[in-house]
Amino acid sequence: MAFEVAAGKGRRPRPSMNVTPLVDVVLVLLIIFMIVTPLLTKRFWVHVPVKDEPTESPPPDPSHVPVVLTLRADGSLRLNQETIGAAELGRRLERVFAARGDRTLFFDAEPGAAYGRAVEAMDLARGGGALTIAVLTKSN
Amino acid sequence: MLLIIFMVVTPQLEAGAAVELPSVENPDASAEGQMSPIVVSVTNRGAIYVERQPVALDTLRARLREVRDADPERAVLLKGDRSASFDGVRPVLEVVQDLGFPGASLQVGERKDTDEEKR
Repeated sequence: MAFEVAAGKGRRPRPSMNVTPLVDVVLVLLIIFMIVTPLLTKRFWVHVPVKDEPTESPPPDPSHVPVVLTLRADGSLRLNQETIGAAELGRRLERVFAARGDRTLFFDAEPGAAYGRAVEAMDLARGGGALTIAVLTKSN
Repeated sequence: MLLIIFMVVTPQLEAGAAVELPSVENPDASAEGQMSPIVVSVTNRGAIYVERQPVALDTLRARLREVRDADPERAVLLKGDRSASFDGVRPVLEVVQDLGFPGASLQVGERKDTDEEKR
């Protein structure tokens, strides 16, 4: 057979693979991923209410009842005193904020609520037009 | 060689403890913000880390007060684990509030799906 004859005749140089371009490509990919990975995370700014507010000073104006979104421990949401589904929250908040001057929303969570759900709820609120989201730090 | 070095080093570069971030659809528009915030992490077990160092709540208060005294403009970046309890995050926000920070940046991932909210 031809192959054996050829193999038997003389020594051919062993082929070797040139890995340099391969390594170049891999290193470039690596650097791209190193740069891109930190950029994939985003930030979500929340306010904390300023301490030492003059409590009880002006009589609360009925048109200025604060909008408070509460996350219950079981994951359901409450807007002021009313239970509301996550699906309708966005549209509901749009109407609420359209009737008000400021787009401030206070967020609170009952003990036992999950942080992930809390962030999702704040995200929904921002989708519904809340510009300032303040997290209440004391549960009451 | 280099590849292995980079593979080992890259996870270390990430600030703070390893947490699974919650993902949102409406993150801040300008993500860059402050270049070097102080990173506070809350893991799913409720442990608190400042940068990479586990701290108790009063140590956290002391650390953040130092930071705020040194540079009042510096922001707090809060990395909370998705499955952490909000009760573990609330004291951190309370400390942040006590020390007079205007707020905190929550670090989140971005979720890109469903435009149905916009319709």
